[in-house]
Amino acid sequence: MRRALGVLLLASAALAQKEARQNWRNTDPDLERAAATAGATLGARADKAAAEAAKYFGARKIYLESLAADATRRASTVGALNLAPDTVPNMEAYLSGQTTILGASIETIARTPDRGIQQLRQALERERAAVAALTAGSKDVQKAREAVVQTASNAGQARMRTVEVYQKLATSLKQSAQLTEQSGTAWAGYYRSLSDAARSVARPVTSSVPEPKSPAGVVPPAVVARNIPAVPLSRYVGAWTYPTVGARFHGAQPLSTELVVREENGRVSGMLSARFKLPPGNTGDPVVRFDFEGTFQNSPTQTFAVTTNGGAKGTLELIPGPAFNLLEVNFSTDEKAGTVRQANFLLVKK
Amino acid sequence: MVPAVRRRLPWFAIAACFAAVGTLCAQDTGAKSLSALQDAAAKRTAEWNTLTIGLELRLARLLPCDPRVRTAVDEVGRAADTRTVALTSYWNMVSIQSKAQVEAIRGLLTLEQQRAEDWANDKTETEQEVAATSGQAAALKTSLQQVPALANPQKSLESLAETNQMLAGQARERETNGGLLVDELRDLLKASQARQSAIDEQLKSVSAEGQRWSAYYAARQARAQIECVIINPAAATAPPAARPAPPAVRPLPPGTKP
Repeated sequence: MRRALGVLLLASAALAQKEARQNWRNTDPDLERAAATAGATLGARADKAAAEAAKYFGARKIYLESLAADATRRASTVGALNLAPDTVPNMEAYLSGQTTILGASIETIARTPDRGIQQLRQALERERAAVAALTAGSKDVQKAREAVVQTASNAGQARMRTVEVYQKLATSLKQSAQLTEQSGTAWAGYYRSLSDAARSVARPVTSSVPEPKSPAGVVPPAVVARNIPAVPLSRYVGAWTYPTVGARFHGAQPLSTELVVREENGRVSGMLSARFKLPPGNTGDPVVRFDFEGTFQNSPTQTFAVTTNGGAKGTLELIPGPAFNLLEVNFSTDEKAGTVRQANFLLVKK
Repeated sequence: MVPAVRRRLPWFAIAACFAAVGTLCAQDTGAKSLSALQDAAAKRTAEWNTLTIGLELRLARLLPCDPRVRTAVDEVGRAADTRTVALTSYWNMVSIQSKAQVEAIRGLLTLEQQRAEDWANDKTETEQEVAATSGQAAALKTSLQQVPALANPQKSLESLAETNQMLAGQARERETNGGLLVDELRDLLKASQARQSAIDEQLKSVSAEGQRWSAYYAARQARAQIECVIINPAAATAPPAARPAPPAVRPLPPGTKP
């Protein structure tokens, strides 16, 4: 029963790690290839991959540890059989002595014709035959005993070899479990560093003409007049919505989102309205709504100060997505009980 | 001829004892009970050995019709029976434990044969991980040419690829050891079965030896009775009530080889 349960648990652990691995590997197979072009969206993608990797390495560690425990348990199943030291006394001398005495007695009375004496002779002969049977049988006893000792010794040696292999397996599995745990941590670090690297990417070069150098403190008049974002305005301006298929988010999960961004004479204005899925038991406000305005900055990420309809202050970042019709939205507001304070998601252009 | 057969433990009592041992074993086949049976067998053997070696010396000091002659032979015979029961109980327990081990080993062999596939799959998966990580590293290397900031993740990935190689090596080793384990378990099963056969033979040997000693004591008691009758013929009219010798072993006719 216990063995069956163990096998079942092990099979379940094996399946869990297998599925977790597939999920991880299928999450974002192009992540590394897209690392140079995905920009800030890579963060969310790397986070997702990291979460799946963590699940896999956790499940893998459990599986390996279960196998190690199972190997140790199985090794203990092959227990030693301790046999008693030889408890058969050596009766050879006694039996030999008895044979001699009985033989001499029989010889002494052999020729006496008395009926009673002849009965005694017959009794002595029966006794001698019993002693002879014991003498012959003692060899069989000894032989049987030696066979037990020999076969038990062979079985003991085979058992030790078996236990040794089980121990090797258990040790290897424990080492792998430990290495897997370390590997899991290293993968988490990798995804973090990948995300950081992607976020820290400098703005792409849009022109091969070197920028004119100006004297210190002197700002070129064109820049004062109108900031031009590092990427085309069309990557920000327009009506955006949260996709119903293939949605990507990090943190609070949006249920629906509408974003409108307008540009007029270098001034940006817009409105964001979003409804989020709240965790079970949370009775807070699932709706966030705010207007924003400002100017475009000379960088891919456009940041605006916002005040929500609930009065919370915060910032909104608009980051061009991995495709021309995608826009990453990142907002955070100051703490205000019962409201969604931060979110990160991709919108698609209407 | 007067059948001079000593009193002995009834053989059904021995059989009952075997049954009791079987029940006991079903409840507790632990080393503790085996150890207790082992101690009991050693003690009974020592007691019987002392009585047997000293028997003729004791009888030599008694007159043929002294009732203590019969008592002395009976006492040694009972000690021999008690020893046989103790030894049989011990070897029965050994046999039960040995059989349980044979079954456990057989079960393990089946499980390990099934697991061979798991070791192979695990090895394949770890090798796939090595390939996947290498693929990631190659992809990232391409991106690295455009984004130098990816140098650190690239290093991390190279280090992870090395770790994966180690994990794959360990999985390969486990696959080899899994195969070796099946071979070792086959050897162990064979050796344990041989041991089981030897234990069964030992049990038969203990039983046969007990019967031979019973036959000997019966013959010794018969001789003592005849010695008494020669001295005092009236003693032949009052033979003691006694059970016959066990059917498996009867005193052999004179001149017959055992």
